[in-house]
Amino acid sequence: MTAYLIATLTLVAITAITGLALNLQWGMGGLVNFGLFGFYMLGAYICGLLTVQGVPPLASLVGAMCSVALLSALVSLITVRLSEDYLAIVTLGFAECLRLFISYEEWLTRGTLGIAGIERPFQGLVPAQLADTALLAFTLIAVALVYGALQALAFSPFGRLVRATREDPAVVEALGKSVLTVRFKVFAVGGAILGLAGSLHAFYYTYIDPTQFSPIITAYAFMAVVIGGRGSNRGVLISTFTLILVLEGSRFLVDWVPHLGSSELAAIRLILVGAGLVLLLIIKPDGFGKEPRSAEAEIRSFTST
Amino acid sequence: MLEARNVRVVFGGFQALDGASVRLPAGVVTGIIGPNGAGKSTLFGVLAGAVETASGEVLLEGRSVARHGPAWRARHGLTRTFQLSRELAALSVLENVLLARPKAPSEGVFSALFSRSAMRAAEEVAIEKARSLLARVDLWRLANAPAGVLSGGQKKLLELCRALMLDPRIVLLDEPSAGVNPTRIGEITEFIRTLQQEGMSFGMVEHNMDMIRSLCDRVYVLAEGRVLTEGRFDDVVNNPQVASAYLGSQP
Repeated sequence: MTAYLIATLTLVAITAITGLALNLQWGMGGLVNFGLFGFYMLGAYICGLLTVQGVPPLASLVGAMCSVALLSALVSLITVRLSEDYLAIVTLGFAECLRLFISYEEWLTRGTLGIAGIERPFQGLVPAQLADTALLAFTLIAVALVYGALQALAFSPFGRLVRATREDPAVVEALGKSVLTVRFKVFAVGGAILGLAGSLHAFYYTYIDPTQFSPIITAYAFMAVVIGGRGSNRGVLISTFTLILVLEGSRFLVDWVPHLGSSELAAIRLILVGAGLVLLLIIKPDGFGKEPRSAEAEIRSFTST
Repeated sequence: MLEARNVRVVFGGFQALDGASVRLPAGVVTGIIGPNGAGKSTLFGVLAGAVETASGEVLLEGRSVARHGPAWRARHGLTRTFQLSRELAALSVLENVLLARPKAPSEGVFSALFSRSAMRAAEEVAIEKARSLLARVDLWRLANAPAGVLSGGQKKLLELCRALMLDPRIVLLDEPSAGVNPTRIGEITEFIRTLQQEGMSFGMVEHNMDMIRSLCDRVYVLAEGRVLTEGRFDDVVNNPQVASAYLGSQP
């Protein structure tokens, strides 16, 4: 039971990180990144490949974050002239290309055989039976750091600028700011965070292959942001944890409801998630969270009016 | 000083501007009038750098700026407001104005994460400036309201404050009185006059002839993408050509 809980929490925490990254890109910046899972996969592969080459896990993690940030930023340059729908299509296409590349370029990625034996950070320092707990702690620290950094951004002038480019790029240009630069930075920071999430994925499973990465990762991230409220980091964090806890918790209904098999329950759960999302979008289309303002502005104006 | 020379703009076969030339001298309000579809807003788009030209030149302080976009021109003293107010509805009134503060290294990712005290200090200065601007048009009391809830006239004033936050030398006003309650038009007129007396230059597209008469030294009349005539307002309105451009109605 404890092992199950630890496993679930680790995966939730990783999902939360992808949700937070998407909240920066789409929630605040209005950039529809359907290719999120591609950047995530890239992070996992760069980190995994570096580790099996003997690079220390923490260095691999940093390497993965930097390379995904760079590649993500380059993608933003290609797509910056595209409006919402087209950006979504291009990023999705990019992610699929990446998956095909990883599946077939066996000399580099070992193709569908996958990469096994990925070393975790601090592996030598913790006893084997505590390995999963240690990784959970590491992942939760990562969530806290990402959350802290994104909150700092959301309340800063940079956050204001990002939200402004979402609202009306032409106005931002007329006020002397380059929209391209803002989007470049948003994709870079988001890419770094997705590289981190992918690396944690590689550390958690210690084995990766292309079948682990599918658009469902993107879908979960979007679900987290929609429920949490676009632009609200806190909302995204809370919604990810609640969503997965409800999903996982419903497994135990088998013990309480008579005549209910586990396969039926699995199907019912999916129906309930779908129905829940539809209901939410009808009742509360903006989600539960509230978008932050650049903080100084709020505080000062209250004190000096 | 801002100047457009022989500007041509084509939108998919339609000649929006067909060799228009205007000069906006420093320190005055230059009016641009003309019937609907004459190309006034397109001309503003060209001057601000948002609309591409097929041929012709745009000179800012005597320097050709054709290859520079709106962001560059805004950083070099030229900004604009829009015909339909384009406030950023989800941002607060104050945030809308703060967005336009010039030269802001503290607007980056690095400052937000690692140099927060410098960022705050820069922000304080910007807020003080935004405050004095918003107070002038009585919007400071609404500083924390989302800009989307303002009235049409307040949105126009907010856009003007936002433009002024940049410390521009030239502001292009695209129909500053459109959608504004008549009682507030006088207020906007006075505000523009004060700024002009302080040394700012304006280009103004406007249908409200009282406003044009009271503010503009010089008026250009545009019709069908060309400058029909130019001169002092009273001379221009008595020009029979102008009257016929407006379909015979008295302007």
